[in-house]
Amino acid sequence: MAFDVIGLLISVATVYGIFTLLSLSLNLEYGYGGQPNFGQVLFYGIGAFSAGLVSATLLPLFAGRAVGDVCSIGALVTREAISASNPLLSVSTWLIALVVAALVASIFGFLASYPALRVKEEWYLSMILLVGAEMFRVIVRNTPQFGCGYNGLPGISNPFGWISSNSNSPLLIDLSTGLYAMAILGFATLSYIGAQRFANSPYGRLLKSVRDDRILSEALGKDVKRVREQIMVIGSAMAGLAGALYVFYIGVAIAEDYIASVTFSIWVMIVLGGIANNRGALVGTIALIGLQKGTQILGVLLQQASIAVDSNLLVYLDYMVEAAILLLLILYRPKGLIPEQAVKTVAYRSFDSGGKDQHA
Amino acid sequence: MTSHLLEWLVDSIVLSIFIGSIYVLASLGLTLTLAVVKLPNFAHAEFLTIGAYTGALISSSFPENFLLMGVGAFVVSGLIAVVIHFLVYKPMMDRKISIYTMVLASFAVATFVRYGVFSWASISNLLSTHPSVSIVVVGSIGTTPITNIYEIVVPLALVLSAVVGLFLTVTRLGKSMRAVASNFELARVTGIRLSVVVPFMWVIAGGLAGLGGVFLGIYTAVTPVLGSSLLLQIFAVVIIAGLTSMSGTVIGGYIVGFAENTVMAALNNFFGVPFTFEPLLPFAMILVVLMFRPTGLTPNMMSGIAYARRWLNRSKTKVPKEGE
Repeated sequence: MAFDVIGLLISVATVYGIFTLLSLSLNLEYGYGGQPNFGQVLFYGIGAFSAGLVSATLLPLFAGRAVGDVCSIGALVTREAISASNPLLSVSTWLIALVVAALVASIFGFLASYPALRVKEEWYLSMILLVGAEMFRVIVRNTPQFGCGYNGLPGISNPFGWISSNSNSPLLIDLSTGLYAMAILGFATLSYIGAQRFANSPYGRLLKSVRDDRILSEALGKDVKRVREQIMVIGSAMAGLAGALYVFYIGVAIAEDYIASVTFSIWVMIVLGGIANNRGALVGTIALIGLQKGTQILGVLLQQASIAVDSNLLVYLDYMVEAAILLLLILYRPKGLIPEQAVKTVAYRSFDSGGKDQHA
Repeated sequence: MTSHLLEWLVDSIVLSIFIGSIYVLASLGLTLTLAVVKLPNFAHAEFLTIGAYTGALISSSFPENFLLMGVGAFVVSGLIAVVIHFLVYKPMMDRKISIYTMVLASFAVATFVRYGVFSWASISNLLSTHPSVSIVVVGSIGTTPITNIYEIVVPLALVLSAVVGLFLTVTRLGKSMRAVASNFELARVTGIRLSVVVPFMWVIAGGLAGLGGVFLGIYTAVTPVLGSSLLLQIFAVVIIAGLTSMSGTVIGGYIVGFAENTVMAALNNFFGVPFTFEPLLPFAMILVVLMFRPTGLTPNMMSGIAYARRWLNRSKTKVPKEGE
């Protein structure tokens, strides 16, 4: 066997689930709500760090040990031992961490909507969120109190890690990571169903009207500010949840994981799939994850064929391809693979069959 | 104690003026881009990287030749800016694509150029390099040494900003550029050839940034992230200047330079704030200015001059106000 196919599939599923959450949340914010969030990674990172800190604090607390300094090696060993031996604690801490992460991220989303509603020109909001994300990274990296500074907060174990803790059997390891991937895909599916219902609800139509014409919506008596606040809160909570899920997968919360390139990839995903289209977000995400994993596999294959290629070169190439895809899409297919569709309501359907398309 | 205080103060002021001058060079082009084509070009910082690498390559054949390095970097970055304009931005503007999408596209251009440079540098083994020029101490203020780079960059930044200012106010091309900046449609109707003015604007914008990149590369090191690590600082300069004011950009460059060095050194000295927090100062400025005073912090000199002129001419002719 060339390499571990099952392990590869599991990791693709995990990353796909996480990025589906992110692209759905950006799609809600930008596609439906018209908020150009260039700092998505801020809420993703906030979710990751709050989940990491909650898990590192609660695990020893629930097990009746002293919490102490979460960054120390001792604390790391203690919490890994607890989560490896105690299934109940491990899963319940994980669930609490997810809830806290989503809450904290949504609070920050609410705070971020403050400037969003006040800036004068359209792109200022993108700038503010981008700067916010960079500030978060600089602060977290250099402040040991939030997630151990430069080295990051390690030892955040897979909540199903206890399955494989007492054996080295690859099957059990696959089972524990596979279960976690299933859990993530479950969250992604739930949020997809939620986003679809949301988008086709009256509130989804309100969002689109705010996106297309704020003054008109206001004239019709809609509370535009309130709507824009709410969409930031909802989107940020989803991104925070994605961050929490990611940190339990990767095992360490480290500031350098939350750079602007991640936001860029999420944007490529939703533009590729089609803006304001949840199915499009799913398609765009799988295409881009495929590209990223594909270049990784290519690197491994080239190495096995003993062709000397710097593995970083493939990463650079991956980014160049992503950027080129985005530029070509904007130029030649701005609606993406699956263009935005009319909201399917009973009224719209009967209207649509009666006359010509009024939506465009 | 006093001498120590004086020493770091002079040290950080000298450094602030140096870094500020580089920011001026790097930001003038972005201000021009924002004024003429209304594009917040997030790929602007990549011109610094291109300029720095061009300078480093030239210096490997012609060591110590600052003139050739500067001219080469200006030409190459300027040309690449024009190529990007024709390949990406112009087709998008012709299609009247929304500003968010343009911002996203400029992000994509930045990513493409940066990782293109990364790939090339990785193959050529130049991921971190130094131009072959020697930094010579030519004098000192107190105990603070002044180097030849300092002697070149500070006057160069001031002279070039004056030249750009003169170009915009005196020459026909510069005046057309300002006409395009103030009213795109009207300028086109008047018969200003956009096909000349806009590419020329890109040459200046890219070229000046490339020139800034050469000296930044000499001061730090030439890496593929040389420019992009300063992207938000450059935006801070432009935002403080109120986005379209050339004179404001010169002042803004020094404001950010001083904030990052003198103010930071003071914070470190008196409050023990670690230097790693340095980027937070320009970032915070961006947030505060955009939220509370989006017209910028620096006084808008152009409107000041216009106001003075109007006031002087008040008895002779009635000058119509803007928008009439």
